[in-house]
Amino acid sequence: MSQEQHDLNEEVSHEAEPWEQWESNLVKWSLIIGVGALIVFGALVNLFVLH
Amino acid sequence: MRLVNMSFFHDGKQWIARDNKVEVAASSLADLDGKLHEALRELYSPSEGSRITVNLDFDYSTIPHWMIQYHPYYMHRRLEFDY
Amino acid sequence: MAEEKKWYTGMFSSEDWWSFWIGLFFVLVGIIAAATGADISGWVIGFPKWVDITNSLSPDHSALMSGVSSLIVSYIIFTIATCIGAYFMGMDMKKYFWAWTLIFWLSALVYILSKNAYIQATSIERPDFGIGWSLSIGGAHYIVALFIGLLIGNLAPKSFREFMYHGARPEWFIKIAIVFLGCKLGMKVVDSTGYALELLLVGACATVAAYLLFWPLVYTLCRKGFKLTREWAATLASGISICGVSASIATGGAIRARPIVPVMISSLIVVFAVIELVVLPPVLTYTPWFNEPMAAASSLGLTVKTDGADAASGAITDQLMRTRAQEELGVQWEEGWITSASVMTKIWIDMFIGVWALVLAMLWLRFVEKRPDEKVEKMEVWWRFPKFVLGYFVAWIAVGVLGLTVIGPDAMDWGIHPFESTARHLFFILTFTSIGLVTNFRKLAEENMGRLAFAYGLGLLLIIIPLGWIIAWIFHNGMMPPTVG
Repeated sequence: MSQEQHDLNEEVSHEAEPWEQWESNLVKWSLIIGVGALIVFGALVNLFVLH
Repeated sequence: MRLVNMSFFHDGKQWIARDNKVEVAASSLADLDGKLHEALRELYSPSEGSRITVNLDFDYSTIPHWMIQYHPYYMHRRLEFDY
Repeated sequence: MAEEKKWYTGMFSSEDWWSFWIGLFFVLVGIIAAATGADISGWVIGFPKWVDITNSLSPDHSALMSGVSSLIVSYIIFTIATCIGAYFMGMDMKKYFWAWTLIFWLSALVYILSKNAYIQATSIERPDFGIGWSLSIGGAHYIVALFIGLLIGNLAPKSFREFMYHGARPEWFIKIAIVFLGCKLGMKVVDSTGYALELLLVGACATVAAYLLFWPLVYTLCRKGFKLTREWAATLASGISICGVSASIATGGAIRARPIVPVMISSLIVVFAVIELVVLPPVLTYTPWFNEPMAAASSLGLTVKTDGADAASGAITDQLMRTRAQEELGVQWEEGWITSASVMTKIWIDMFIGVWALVLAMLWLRFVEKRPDEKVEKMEVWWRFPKFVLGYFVAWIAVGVLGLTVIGPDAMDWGIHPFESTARHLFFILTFTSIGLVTNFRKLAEENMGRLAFAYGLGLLLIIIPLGWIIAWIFHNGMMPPTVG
């Protein structure tokens, strides 16, 4: 692979795609499951494992 | 069904896929797949309704040496071309 | 021509598998020693604290041979073991051998000098050494090794730096050490406590929650806050949220990113990981986190990316916190449990990367690239699975089961201790030196990575560290390391 100098500041955001619905869904469901796991596992661990 | 194993890498500007019989290059993977589809048609003359499966293994030696210890490989693509 | 990828591909050609083979080989040596009583494991070199330099070296089984002999034997045996691995991995053997040799002896020298009692002895230990004062810097040897590595890695001539890269394999060394760490949990099973299993369980729970919260928040920050393209945002989000360089490579591959993307992000990850490695252990030790040592250690697993930097920061925190506990509370916590907590969370994170990469690959091919010709193989999960983790669990189960049944706890401790503890510490310091050698701060400036570095730093400060701390506390609050005796 070429290791030439890149202007990364330009490269990383050049022609950034518009935010789409599937990205919203991915973020939303990941957060919902994550918060759910935090609450359920957190409660179970604090009730039955941690003393 | 024919199975073809090839390697591919990115030279900084375009993707290049090759084995000892064929080499194609394109700036995007979608274009690469299209060119590969046609190159394999010319090479193997597949019959109508047949399929060629291509295993494209990324040439990991093109990744900087120090990074290779962190993960065993970059990507492996399996393409199924119907003719 | 490329060969078709099979389930066993890489079994004898990847560093991951070679940490599995080498780690388990030595665990097996320890188990055979324990089972037969033949002292084939006691040669491993240890570096005790000293005031008289003639006492600065000692084999694990101190009556077996002199300290100098032990150091030479350890060098020869570990050189042969890693050279076999390097050979099968296709490394340049000559360069590997000489670079490894330099790293080994440099690390040994740092270890010896930094273990001076005036530097490391606690106030309680001072009378044992007949000294009136000491700096009480637990883990000084790790910090010094890191800084020596950084000095060489950043200031030495380029040709020498590049030569040293051939032997500087922090991920390989730490993975071997982590397999050895599995024995420690096995010994805890032998002690008939559920502590190790509790640690495993809470580590898994914390990981699931962290994973699913970190990634979407960082991805959104990168996409909406910094206007990054999808390939940069997704790869950076995985790198900072999951397991660092490994995750950025896996995600880059999953979303079919150009290799420049994970390469640049990985350069960032190793630099930030070293900064975290230096900053977080003292922050955790000298703040109220000291009252929650296991939660603090677990937070390192969630916040410090790369296995090497995470385990290394866990080892420093282990040393610093145990020293403080001994000084201020008069309590002697068992060595290695704080390190274990930091590694346990990280191991779970590592294991999930294959699954996450599979999910992303499916999403990307379906919604972004829309390529019906391309199929995602379920075997991706296995190919990306960290194999050293298997070694860690095999070591844990083998030592635990055999120690409880046919061998017995005392014999198992005698046979396995040289690897479970002494060799583990040796591979830790090799990791510290190597991390320093491969971390090049100038890379950031050379590649003009300001925007990415800012996104990474902000993600770390605003999302990963605060959330990681909260999650670690929720799942580990009140857990304390076992005390000696």
